[in-house]
Amino acid sequence: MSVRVVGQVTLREGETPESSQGVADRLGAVGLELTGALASHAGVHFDLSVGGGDLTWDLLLDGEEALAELCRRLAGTGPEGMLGVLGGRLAELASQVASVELAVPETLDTGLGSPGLVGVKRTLWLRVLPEAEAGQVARFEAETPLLAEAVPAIRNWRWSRVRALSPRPMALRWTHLWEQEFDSVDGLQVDYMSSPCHWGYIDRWFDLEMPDRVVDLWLAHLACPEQAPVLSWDSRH
Amino acid sequence: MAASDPGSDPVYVIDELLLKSGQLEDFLSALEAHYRPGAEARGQRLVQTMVTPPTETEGVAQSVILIWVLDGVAGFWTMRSQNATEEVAAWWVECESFIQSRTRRLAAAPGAIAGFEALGRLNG
Repeated sequence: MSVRVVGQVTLREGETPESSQGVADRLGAVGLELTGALASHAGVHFDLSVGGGDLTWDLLLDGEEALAELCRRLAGTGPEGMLGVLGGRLAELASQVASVELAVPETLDTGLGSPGLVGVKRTLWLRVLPEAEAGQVARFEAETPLLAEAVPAIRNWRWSRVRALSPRPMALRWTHLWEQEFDSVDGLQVDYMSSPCHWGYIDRWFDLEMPDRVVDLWLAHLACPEQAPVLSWDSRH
Repeated sequence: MAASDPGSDPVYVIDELLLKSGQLEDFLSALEAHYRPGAEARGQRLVQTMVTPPTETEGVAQSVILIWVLDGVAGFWTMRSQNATEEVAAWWVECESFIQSRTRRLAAAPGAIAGFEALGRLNG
């Protein structure tokens, strides 16, 4: 069974929009050189993105053994040294990449209404507060997919807990990923943000003023154009 | 009746705070001094303050219901883009000294809801 890895890539200062796209293109391509890599994609974030890196890097690996091999190669490295340790053409990108933060999503729920869609991918990285009450967290996890019901422009989605790459070569501040694919950015910027299920119900888990809040205020709201059907990958492998 | 632009229909924020005994006057004073001015600067206007049950009988716990209004969906996000501050967090910590528990809910007029839902389905 294939395993997904999702990353935030932060570029070094001075990279231009053109050079950022070049890094994304090369990272997407040379990610396939990793042992057991079935698919690799990187996209440059739109300006609407906040709280995270410059690119989203998605990998699909051929099972737990491929993931274990990646972990072995990364052991002892942090986000800053990762590409250098991986060697080969990935290491050649280290001069332009400041850090890579990787997480392994463990799917709680998913919906693939438009398998094969190549559109806009939005990834929300979030951290549930460690002091949040377990029952509230369970309710938050159960309710988040309601957004996909309320917003048909969300064509494909995955809702996951995330874990660091064991044996923990890097600390991971995030606990969950909420990933969606839209036909275009309007689905995110208009439909998703306007839906009353979002602002009138689910947002309470995120709002500082709500007694129900369970999510840390530091979110990474990241969206990028796709060149591959990232959320459909493992239905094809 | 729904507004011609459904996104501009009022969005209500409803606070219900179960007070500790004898805290009504101090709570309302603190609310005016430490929260309402900032909330209104964020576009969250207080339109109603009520106390339930409407009695001062000793031993009867009172709740305060606050109804605030926002200028539609845009007003909601304007408020949300400004409320994650230390000042706002400090108010809700202070508030704990007056209350036993509280809820906050979002609401709209019945006739506004279909329009709001439609906004979330424009590109569906």
